[in-house]
Amino acid sequence: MSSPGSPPELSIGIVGSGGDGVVLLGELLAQSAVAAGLYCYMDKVFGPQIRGGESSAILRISREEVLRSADELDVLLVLQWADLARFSDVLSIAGNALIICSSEDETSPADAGLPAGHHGPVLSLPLKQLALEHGRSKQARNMVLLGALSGLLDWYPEQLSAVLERRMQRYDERSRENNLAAVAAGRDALAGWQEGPLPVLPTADAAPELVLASGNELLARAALASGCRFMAGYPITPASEILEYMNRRLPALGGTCIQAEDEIAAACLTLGAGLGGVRSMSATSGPGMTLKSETIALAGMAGLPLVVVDVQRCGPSTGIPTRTEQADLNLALHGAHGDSPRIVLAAAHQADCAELATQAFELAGRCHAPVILLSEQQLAQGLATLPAGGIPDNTEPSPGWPERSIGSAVQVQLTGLEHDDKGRPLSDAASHEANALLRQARVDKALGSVPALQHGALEAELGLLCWGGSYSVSREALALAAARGVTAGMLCIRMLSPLDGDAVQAWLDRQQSLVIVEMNHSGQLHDYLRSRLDLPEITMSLRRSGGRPWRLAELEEFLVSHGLIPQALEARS
Amino acid sequence: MSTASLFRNATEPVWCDGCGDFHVLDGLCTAITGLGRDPREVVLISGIGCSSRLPGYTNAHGFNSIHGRALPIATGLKLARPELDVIVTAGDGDIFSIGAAHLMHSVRRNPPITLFVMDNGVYGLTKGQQSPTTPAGTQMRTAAQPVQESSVNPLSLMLSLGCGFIAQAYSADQARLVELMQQAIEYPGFSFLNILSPCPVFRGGMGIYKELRRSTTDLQQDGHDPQDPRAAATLLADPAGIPVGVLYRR
Repeated sequence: MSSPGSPPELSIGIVGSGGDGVVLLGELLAQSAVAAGLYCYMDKVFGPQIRGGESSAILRISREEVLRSADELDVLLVLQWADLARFSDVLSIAGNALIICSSEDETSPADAGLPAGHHGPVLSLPLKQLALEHGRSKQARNMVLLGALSGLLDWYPEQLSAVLERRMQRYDERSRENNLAAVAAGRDALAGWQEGPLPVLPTADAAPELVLASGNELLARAALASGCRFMAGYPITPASEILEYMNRRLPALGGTCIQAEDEIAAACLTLGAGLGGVRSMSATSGPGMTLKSETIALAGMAGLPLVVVDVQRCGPSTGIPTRTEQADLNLALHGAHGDSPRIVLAAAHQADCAELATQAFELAGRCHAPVILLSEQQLAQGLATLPAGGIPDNTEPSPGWPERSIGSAVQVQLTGLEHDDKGRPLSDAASHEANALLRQARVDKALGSVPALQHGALEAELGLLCWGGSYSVSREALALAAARGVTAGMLCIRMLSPLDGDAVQAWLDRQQSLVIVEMNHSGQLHDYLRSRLDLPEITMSLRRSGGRPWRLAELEEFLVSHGLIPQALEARS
Repeated sequence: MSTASLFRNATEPVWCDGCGDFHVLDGLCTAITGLGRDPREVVLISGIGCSSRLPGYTNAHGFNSIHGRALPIATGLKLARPELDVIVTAGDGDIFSIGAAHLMHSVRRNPPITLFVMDNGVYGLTKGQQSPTTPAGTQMRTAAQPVQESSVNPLSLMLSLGCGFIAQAYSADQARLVELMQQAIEYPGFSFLNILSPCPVFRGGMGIYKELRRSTTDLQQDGHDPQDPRAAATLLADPAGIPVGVLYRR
């Protein structure tokens, strides 16, 4: 049981440089908390350079399910103050936050952007010296920090040592000892500290069995469980983990994974395997999606199943490869020449990456059409907590695509040219029109098969409508609105094409006012819906470019400033 | 009725009179039936261009895909269905220009598929622009100036990439074409056959056949040892004519 007055949750930020082991430290904390039966969400936010440069992990630990990181940090672990400055837009530090940092740092906290209002304890340790002395390497600074924090907060000792032990299995005996010595040194260094407020950790009453997984891992595992036995991809942030995961798993399942020479080849290899009846997919990010668009159109023209995952990042062009955004909706919906209908799904949270990957394979096979599955850096690389049984694990033999026919007695002739039902080229306008209908009809077979996520009141004063990763913050905004006495509801559309217009319209008609929430500059979902449906008279678009996850405070401010929810009462008496 | 007609369907090709691709189609039909293949165990994958309509004129399975991408599609298919004979029939624009990147990596991956390039040294479908195999100095009907860029030598390129089977044929020499096609199809790795398949309409007129007949020289008649990569390199450095036959076989 948590003690009276203990916070319902705890938020921890870790900053350092690439190679400092920031993510490892975050994972060890997250895994041990999850092993203790707590829910954890962990964002990984990197600088623009992918390798090297600054790196941060942001954890939120709670007794209830959490799907995004918190607005403010209660605890901050700093390997290097200089790196904090580069994350000032992402890390918001609570005034009373506990900070553990290095006493050997040349940059002062103030220079690094620690807000002047910060009045919490700042504990500094000779991180490097302790790491060298006990861990035999400067690299062990993250272990010293782990020891320091876990000592101060009494961090699930049993679970932490089990997690550490498992993690160290890949190290040799000596490195194992050194790392554990560094952890112990960190713990001892702060053992005497006894002043100031310590955030008290919530503990679980009855520990549920939970696991931690990223959206990319969940997506890949669901693909395997859905019978995917072929993947071709090209390394691209933040989708590479899917390729790497499939590369480890596919050979043992009798499948094939290829790192292609380019994004176009990856799409074509995938299409070719699909032509042979093998369930196949490719995964990429925005720049790769643009290169694949000709192949996606070919799949639609030839009536072949094709699954392409787009893990979105900040665009256009190279943009900010490591940061999250939702700006590829237009590309997914319309990114091809000609009228090129396709099925477009967008995952709302980590577990949804698995759910929709399963749907993607089912729909591609049933509809003989290209399926684009949209994910986002935040979901793809961030870790969320799921019930232990929530990770797809089926590796039964794959059924292949239905109606596979190449190599059977019936001749198959396919072409990207307009064609008749035998694959013979055509160039008359009437046939072209008829075939356009047919291609749309293939996609329309998917209509209604992936319902939107609906929460809160159906008949509402305030309706929040979103897609993809804006789901988690919208849900919290929904709860906030309800807490302030506003009848609010929300809808998260997961199948963007074919759009179930009737269902969405029926929901829209019951909202007195509407806010469409999405993380892109141009309001792509807003424009899409406006072009197809009747939006309420009071409709607002809450949007901004990506680069950092949503904060609940952003939504709160928007809703308050537009008079949609009342301001919070400053003091409750 | 020839045995080849088992493989050939009734569709009339769109090719112009005198097009070398007719010979290639005939040769392929003869080669496949000669090997005793069931047309339904053969898949022809093509890109875009005059030559890429070829799959549609056969009783094999076929996919006339998009420009330049026949090789990765064929590789994906072969990996998925190893029991099928997968043959890419494409043009010089497809393989040496827009899809050139895939050639190098197909050689590296070495899937047991066969590549027949129908090399006419011109973009015929778009009516006469220069291709990567058009010799420098050629005056194209669509251009103000003769071709400035040097041309790709497909055989040198493939030898440098390390391809395990490299051969060249001339479409009008049907018997030799069939023989080389069969060797390429039977080769257990990635095999490459460049087929000189003239486009008299847009390059060289009907006189090009005469010229090719005069300038081609058969490697095997000349005693070239295809197992010897050094001999292949030497021969390409100082060619006596346009080589026909197996240049290299690992």
